[in-house]
Amino acid sequence: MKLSAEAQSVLETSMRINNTDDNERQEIEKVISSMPDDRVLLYKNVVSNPIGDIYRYSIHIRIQHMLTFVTFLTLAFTGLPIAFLDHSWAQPLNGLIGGIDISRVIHRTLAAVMVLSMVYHVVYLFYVSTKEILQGKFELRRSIIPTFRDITVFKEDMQYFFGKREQRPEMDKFMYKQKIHYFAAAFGNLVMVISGSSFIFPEFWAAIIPASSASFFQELMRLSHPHEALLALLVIAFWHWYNVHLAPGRFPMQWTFLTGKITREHQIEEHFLEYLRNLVELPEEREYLQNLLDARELSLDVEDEFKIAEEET
Amino acid sequence: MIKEMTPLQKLIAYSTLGLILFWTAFGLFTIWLYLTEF
Repeated sequence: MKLSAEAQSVLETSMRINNTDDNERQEIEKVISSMPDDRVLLYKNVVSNPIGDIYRYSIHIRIQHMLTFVTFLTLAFTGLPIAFLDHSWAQPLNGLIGGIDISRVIHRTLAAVMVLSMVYHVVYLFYVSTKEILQGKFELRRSIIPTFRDITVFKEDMQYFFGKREQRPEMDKFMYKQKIHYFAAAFGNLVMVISGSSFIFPEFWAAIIPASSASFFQELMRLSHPHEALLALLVIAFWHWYNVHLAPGRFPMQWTFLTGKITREHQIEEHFLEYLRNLVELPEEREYLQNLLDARELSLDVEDEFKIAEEET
Repeated sequence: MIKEMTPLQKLIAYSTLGLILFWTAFGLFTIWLYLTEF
């Protein structure tokens, strides 16, 4: 496989960061040169463990996801009947957990847990990023921060989905869709926390907001809290759950949120640049791929295969 | 190619899927109730 300029740059950076020696460098170059140009051929031929092959998320990220996931669903379950209290359907739902007074307490307790998980996430990100920057290992394109390249990648991926392109673009550890989703969730959480806190601590917000707009602010918060909640519920149900549960290749469930690992197939398809880093960082992955390529002769292009077929007949 | 899941893995995966489908149904039901002002 001939690497694109971007892929080559990712590879060089990774080898520099990992202090790759000459022997390893040769091994890496050998395995890459024997990879087929058609990445579909590659990811359809690798064997993946359904619960994941390659490490992706640390235990901290998994705990943060779990906290957010559990609190989000239970907040939605307790919050919707509170927001729409005057609707007849809300009464039995509130009754299920002991009436509105109880569900309010549960809702606020869970909200505190959700805020804690946000704080945990921000502190953890700050700690890890600072550590990486100090060690000279931080790579902006490997992070969730959007870059201009994401626009090109998005355009190319759309071309692929409309049949105008042979292969999906080479995407990094976080693809455009994940970045949009992440920042949408971050923004949504912030809206929920600010608006929710304005219900519990109105005096606090009244002290910060100018008197002329304090009442407007409260009105705005009253409107945004339930509507942002509905929006989030729809995004989770139709977008997130489609991507991680229902999409072909992920059905019935992507295990990354539990095991922290991604399947090899998925990594090559949607995070090819990260897979190149895996080849640098993981000797066993290199060995696996080289053995597979040798065994199946995937590196041959179609014309070579025709030649072999002709010679055999 | 992704290898076949073991029975235990299948149990976990499909029950999680069941749970999220239940939540989707619940969420949509609530939104429908809200929109129709039932």
